[in-house]
Amino acid sequence: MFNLQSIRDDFPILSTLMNDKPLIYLDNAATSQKPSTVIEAVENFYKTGNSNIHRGVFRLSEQATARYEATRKEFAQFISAEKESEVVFVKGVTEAINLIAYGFSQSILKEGDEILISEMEHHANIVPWQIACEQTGAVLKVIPVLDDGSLDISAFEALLSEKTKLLSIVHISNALGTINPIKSMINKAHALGVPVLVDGAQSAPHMKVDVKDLDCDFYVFSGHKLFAPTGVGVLYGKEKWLEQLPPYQSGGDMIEKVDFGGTTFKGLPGKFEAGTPNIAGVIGLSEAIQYLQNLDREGALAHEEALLIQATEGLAQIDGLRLIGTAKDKASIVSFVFDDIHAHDVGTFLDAGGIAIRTGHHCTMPLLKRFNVPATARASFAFYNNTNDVDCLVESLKKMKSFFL
Amino acid sequence: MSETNLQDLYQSILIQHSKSPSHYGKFEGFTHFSEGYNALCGDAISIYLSVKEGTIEKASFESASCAICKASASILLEAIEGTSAETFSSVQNGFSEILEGNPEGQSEALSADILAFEGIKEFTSRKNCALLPYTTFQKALNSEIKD
Ligand SMILES: Cc1ncc(COP(=O)(O)O)c(C=O)c1O
Repeated sequence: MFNLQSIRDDFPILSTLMNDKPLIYLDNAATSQKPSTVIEAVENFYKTGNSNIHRGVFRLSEQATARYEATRKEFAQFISAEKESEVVFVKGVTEAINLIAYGFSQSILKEGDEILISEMEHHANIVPWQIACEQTGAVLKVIPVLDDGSLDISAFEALLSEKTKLLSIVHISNALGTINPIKSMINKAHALGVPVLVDGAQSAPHMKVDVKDLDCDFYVFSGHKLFAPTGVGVLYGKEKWLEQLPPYQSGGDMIEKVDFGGTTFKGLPGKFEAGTPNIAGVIGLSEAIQYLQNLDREGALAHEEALLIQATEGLAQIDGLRLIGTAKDKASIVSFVFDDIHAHDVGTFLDAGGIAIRTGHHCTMPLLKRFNVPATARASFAFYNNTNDVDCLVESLKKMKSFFL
Repeated sequence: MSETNLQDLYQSILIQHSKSPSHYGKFEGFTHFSEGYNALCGDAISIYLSVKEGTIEKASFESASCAICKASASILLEAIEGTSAETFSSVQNGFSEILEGNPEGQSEALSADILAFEGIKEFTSRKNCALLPYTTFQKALNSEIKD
């Protein structure tokens, strides 16, 4: 059962004031809020469980290690991964993509090979590939976006070829909310033997992710958008791919044996986890996925869809407001611009009423250029938002027009 | 940020300048030019200058930017056209003081319109919007003189 009031009570920040008004947090695509269980788990770890992992023979360290490794198993189950060794803890999506792009540039890409991404990618899924291409002579190909903010699938099919060494694609666009048809894209890519990396930064908070069903080769997560602390995330990769990639960083914890004559690395996943990781963050992540597993996720998704409809209809009543991104399949994200009021001014105005939205290019500059706008205002909803949040947004925007015009 | 702060930030004089900026639009025969970007938000501004024998004879701008940035550019160019690089430096210094919340002693050097930016001190994330025209103007002054 989806009980909104009790869910809201789980997130302490939702009952705070901002600029003397109840906080209305509509920047969930940038980062989500954390439930008390996550906050308390992190606090308790530092109070009573803090220790380094994988290296102490004392009880405290053994317990911390056990908790850390248990989270790996929980996460593997959470996304239906076959093996827990396919779950690598990283800082977040940015680090995960950098790790893969580095590995590809070291051991896979050759001159003339192609990497296929799309026009709606976050900079985190553009820049690492630009660098990998520069270093190897590979070519970056880009799937265009249609006027409604959906991918041009026939262009995708034409761009995909035997030269493609990886399709790296966002599941849900952070700037537009578009949900891409990744399952059929993965099938088409696999038909040509092309592996697929899915940027799941925005999808995991809204929908259940099943990597087995998708059959993706890599799927990457940011914990902080998934109700967990910042600085922790997950790279899921099929074993056969992770085996092929070289270590991304090196040093302590990722080695089996170090000798000046030569060093051997740990197997998966340790090979990719050099140095002391974000242990408290991983423990927080464990609580976050626990929270999601106890949540009626279908009910939560239906609620978010209702908020999206309410917001879309509400915004449509405002003169001079234009939605950017009107694809048929959308997550609860609305991006909009005004003819004559800049997104930044919109953001500052709403903030005065306690409403937090994101304004700017959302780290998707090529996408905004494609829509010919320098910036948009974006409201993004989580399952803990309510209809009052949407009403306040729409009413404030109406008031704003008389303030600026 | 309360609604009073909001009124302080968006003083009517700034709204006026943002809605109908002066010195807006590229002109023929400029000698100096630069573009500036605010990486945080993607705002962009271009500044065109015609400088002869140390005098900034003509100055204009074009921008895709917020009200604060546009008003700041409009007011800056009104103050600077017909003066020199030295005047720009002193206005720039005075403006920095205002953004830091130290308006004392600036009222002689600066126009009333520039002083209207005082309310921005409460809005940390918006200071860069107001400063972008200044940093871009400085870059334009340093730019290669076209033949
Ligand atoms: C679609 C998408 N990809 C990648 C990222 C980068 O995530 P992080 O900053 O957590 O590494 C984000 C975050 O804004 C995102 O929305």
